[in-house]
Order: sequence, then C-alpha cells, then structure tokens
Amino acid sequence: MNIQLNGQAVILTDSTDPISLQQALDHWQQQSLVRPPFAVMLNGDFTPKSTYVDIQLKENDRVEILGAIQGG
Amino acid sequence: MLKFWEQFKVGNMTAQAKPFDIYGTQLNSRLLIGSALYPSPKVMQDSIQASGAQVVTLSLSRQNPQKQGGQTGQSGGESFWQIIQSLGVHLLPNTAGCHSVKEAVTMAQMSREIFQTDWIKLELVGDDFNLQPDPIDLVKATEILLNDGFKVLPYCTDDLVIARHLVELGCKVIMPWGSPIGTGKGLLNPYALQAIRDRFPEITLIVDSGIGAPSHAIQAMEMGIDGILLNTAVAHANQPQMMARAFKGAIEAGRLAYEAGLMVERQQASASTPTLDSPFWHHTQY
Repeated sequence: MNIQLNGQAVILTDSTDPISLQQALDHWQQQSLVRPPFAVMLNGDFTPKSTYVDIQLKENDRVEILGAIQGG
Repeated sequence: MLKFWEQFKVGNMTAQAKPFDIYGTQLNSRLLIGSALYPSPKVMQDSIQASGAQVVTLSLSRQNPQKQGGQTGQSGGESFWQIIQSLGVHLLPNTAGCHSVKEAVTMAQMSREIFQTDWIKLELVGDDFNLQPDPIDLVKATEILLNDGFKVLPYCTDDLVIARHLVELGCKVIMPWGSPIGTGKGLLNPYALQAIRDRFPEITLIVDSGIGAPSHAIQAMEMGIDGILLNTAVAHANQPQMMARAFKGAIEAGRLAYEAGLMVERQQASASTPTLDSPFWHHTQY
C-alpha cells in the first residue's frame, strides 16, 4: 500500500490486508519516523487520537504527522 | 479643577491594580515569550528563564526525526520538546502560517491534543508581506474555536471595531499588534491601542508583535496594557539572556508606573524647589 507520509511517498506494506492508522503509526514509531507527542492529519483533516484504531488506511492516503516546534 | 495648561493631558487617575489574568489563570509575570529564532536551544532555555515569563509560545510542524535539534532529533543534545517541558511554563500554541479558517481551526485542534491545553494564540495571515491578520476570517475562526471550548487569544490589528467583535464573541484576552511581526518598530499607533484599552477596561490586553526595545514595552505598560508578548526582540538581541532580563525589568517598571499614576503633563514650567524667600527671589513681571 502506497501512502503519502509528510509529503513523501512511502510503501506501508506489500500486503493487501487492511491496515489501521494505529498500526501504521506503531510501525512508523518502530522505525523512528514518528515520536510522541504528535497529532495526525489524514487527507487534510484533523484525526483525533481516539479514532486511530478504527480508521482503515487506503491507497494513496495522505498522512501528516505534526509535532512541537519553536514558535513566536 | 484643572488649570488651563493642565487640561491637555490628564494623568493616570484611574489606574486599575488588577491581577494579570488569562482566562482565569492568574500570572505573576506580564511577559509572554516566544521560543523561536534563538541561536541555540541553550540560549533559548537561558533566555526564557531570565525573562521570568510563565507563558511560552510554540507551534506545530511536520515531524522530521532526522532534523538536528528538532523534537525527535537524536543529535545528542536535549530536544526542543524536552527543554520546553523542563521549564515548567504554561504553553501557548499558535496557529502561525495559517491562511484560512479551516487551517487555523485544524491547527488549533491538533495543538490541543498534543499540548493538552485549550489555550490557543489564533493567528490567521491576511497579508504575506506584513503578516497582518485577516480580520474577517479571524473573527470567524474565533467564533468556531470559542464554541469548541478553546480559550482564544486572538492576534489582531489595532482596529477598535475588530476588537469589539472579538470581545462580543466572548474573548477575555485580546492581543493587538504594536507593529508587524519581527519589525521591532514598537507601537506604531499608540492612539489606537489606548482606544482599545479605554473601551474594554475589563479585557486582558496583551500587545503582541513588533516590540523591539524595552522602552516600547514600558510605553505600552504605562498606557495600562496588561502584558507583552515578544520573541524577536530577545532572540535577535546581541545577548538574548541579558535582553530578556531587561524586558523583565521594563515590564515590571511600566506596570508599577501605571498603577502608581503618572504625573500630569504640563505646558508651563513649574519649579520643583520653592522660590519664596530664597536668597535671590524676586517677583517676576509678565
């Protein structure tokens, strides 16, 4: 499954089995691509943490992982 | 009754000694400080501590674990997020870079989830040159966020009517600019800021952006402005930590002066030392 992660194309899995957003995030955390605390946008919309388990990712979904940075 | 020459400027006769309150949280420091633009994370940490600020602004961006010094950086130094957490300050996330109501609302919602606060510094860019807020979308986004339980600190221009709309929606804090972000030009329109202060005496008024020197902060505080939010003035100083201390002192001095009540400005000179019976006193003929 091809996914856009923070604007870059990544191959999330070679399997055709469905994968939840939570599973994808766990996978990316193991690869140190994601680190708490973070928030998620899926296809341009804020996606609350409580929904990660229920959302099934689809081909070419755009996932944005946001974290804290300096700001004025 | 004021003498003829005293009526042109009235001194500070109605100063309010009210505590500094942000949506029910009372703070000792009236300086809010940004976390951006410092030469290093250590300088940022030292400057924030030297400022005495109890509120620090920060923002959101795409995570980049490989970026040194970033939230997830493994550079060996402390990450930004770890430093901010260690300071024990109130976090004030901003919606910097948002150009639409949807962008600002989305960013606010993500900030609330990450930072576990419903405070939000609402910035909605209306012009990419002077970064002034879009006043119409600012009001729309404020209404949406207030209805969603956010405590909105809207960054606005010095327009009295926009301020009135924000107050009528339920904002307890208004943050008008002194001048465009990062310019250091100070208070470009003190008349307009004074008008907002006078019209909404119960609102917490924080001048946000454009402050360049401690004297700008003193000027604002002497007018009765409740607080100052700044970033560039400290971060881009030659010695940020020392400048942070300077601003701390300036803001404290300005507030004390306001509460003490400034003298009445006069047109005609008035001798401080009594002249009657001084050795060379003589009656002056006009």
